[in-house]
Amino acid sequence: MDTAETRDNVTLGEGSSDAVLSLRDVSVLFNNKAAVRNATFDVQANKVTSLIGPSGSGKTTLLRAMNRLHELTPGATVTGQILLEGEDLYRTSVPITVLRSRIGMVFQRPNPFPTMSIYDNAVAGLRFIGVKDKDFLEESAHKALSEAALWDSVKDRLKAPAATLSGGEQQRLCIARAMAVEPEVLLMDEPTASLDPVATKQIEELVTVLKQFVTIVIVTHNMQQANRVSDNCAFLLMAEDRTGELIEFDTTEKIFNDPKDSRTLDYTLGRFG
Amino acid sequence: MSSQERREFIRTTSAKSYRRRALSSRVFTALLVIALLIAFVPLASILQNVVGHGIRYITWHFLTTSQQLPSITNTNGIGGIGNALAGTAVVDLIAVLISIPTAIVLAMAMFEIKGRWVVAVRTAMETFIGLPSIVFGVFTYVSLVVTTHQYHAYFGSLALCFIMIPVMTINALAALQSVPDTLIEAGLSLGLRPSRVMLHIILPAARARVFTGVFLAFSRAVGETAPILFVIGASTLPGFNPSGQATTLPTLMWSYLIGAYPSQREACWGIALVLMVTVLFFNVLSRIFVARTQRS
Repeated sequence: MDTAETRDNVTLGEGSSDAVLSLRDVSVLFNNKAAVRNATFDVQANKVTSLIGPSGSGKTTLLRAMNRLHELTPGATVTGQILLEGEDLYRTSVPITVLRSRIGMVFQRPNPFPTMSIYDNAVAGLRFIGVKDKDFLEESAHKALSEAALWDSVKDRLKAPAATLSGGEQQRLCIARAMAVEPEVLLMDEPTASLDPVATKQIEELVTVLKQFVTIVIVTHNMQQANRVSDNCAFLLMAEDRTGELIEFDTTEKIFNDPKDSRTLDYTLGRFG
Repeated sequence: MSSQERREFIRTTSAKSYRRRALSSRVFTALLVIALLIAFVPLASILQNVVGHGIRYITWHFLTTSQQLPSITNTNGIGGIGNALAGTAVVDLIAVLISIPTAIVLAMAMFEIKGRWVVAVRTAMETFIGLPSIVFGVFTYVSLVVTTHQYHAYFGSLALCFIMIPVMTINALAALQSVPDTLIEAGLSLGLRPSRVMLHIILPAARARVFTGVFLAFSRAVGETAPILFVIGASTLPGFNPSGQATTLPTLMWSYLIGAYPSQREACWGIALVLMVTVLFFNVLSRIFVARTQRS
């Protein structure tokens, strides 16, 4: 489980060249009340970045700001910059729908489209984007389902409804669905929260494999999970005024073994939260 | 195809199709706006006519004095609608008092009993909702007026119940069924009797939606003419006696529309405006009420 070698080479903070997603002084507000304040860190290419912290620290809010899903909540605004390969997500002329296809998302509960087959779910994003080439779609389904470690168990029943899969399989189908459009970044919001330990382990293993194809940001309540799967780690905490703050961002190894802030240590040792 | 090539292909396809998608999005937005206008124009025109013609009738005198028959010497002397307001209040209040508890009890029973019987009752009620209201008028007339040879305000209330109870029951049942099973299970697991669970957990959780249905049904009933026309008789005196005869706003309007004097037909605008404002008032009231209930 020691990936220290890779972590030692990581350059952190502003100006690192391999940042896919950069957060600069990001605050997310709901009706002018901040939910997360002044978060600055870089999400590095082909690494897993975890967001950890107790409930209410703004992990999910921050994650949803990264593909502008939080805008579905009325009254939500973002200040600061979120840069996707240098392009400010909030000030770009690129349409939001195009942006979102570059930043995939996997949710807490598996949410395959219930009326679609396994195959149709896997290629749903591509079809909506306008890909019609049957061979390309089939190849994509094969690739995405393989990446999601689901191909072998579903290859003989691709036309079966997605609802016939188990919870863990459904979640992997959702990962395949997100991967099929070849996003640069994959956001995962507590992807194992509703799964049993076996399915959780499979998803975790999947995450460590997937990072060679895609940059991953994962929100988790489970500190061991963050420790197991992530290369870098952001620790958030709710301040006195109930606003989430980024306490510390570093390599996962530093966060768990040698944190700069005593609150990080208290949290990772399980003294609170 | 390498991963990078695939990504390129997908991005190009997406960019190409985006223009088409954006265009069709604009086309459909435009179609929606047109549809909205088509729906809105008649509505606005009705509103403009009713308010435009009716507003001059909204005086204290018109609202409080009883109707009068115009005479040859004073063809404009139609009096007011005080008697009809009183009649409306009596007929509708009694109807509401009967139908709310009946509908809620029915909905609770249908929720608890389940099974084929409930499906039958439900289907019957849905059919009732679709029936022209004059059917209930004729039914009430034949079964009550013809047998008793009398007109009573409360006969009208009973006729309105036929309209309101199915709407309220179907709505209340849907409201009860929308309460999450986990809440019900939590109640049962505390050792509560099913009746307690119903009264203290399911019903309170569903109350906002139940009341939406109640107001919806009431709004529908308040403007009904046909079911009550044959059974409540008519009264030119403002009275609140349920066993007396009564005139309501819709029945007054009906009799004015077929009346002999232009002044009577003209006054229908005023009555229509009062009816409209009444319905609007109760709709706004229900919105506020529902918003309050949901907040607490």
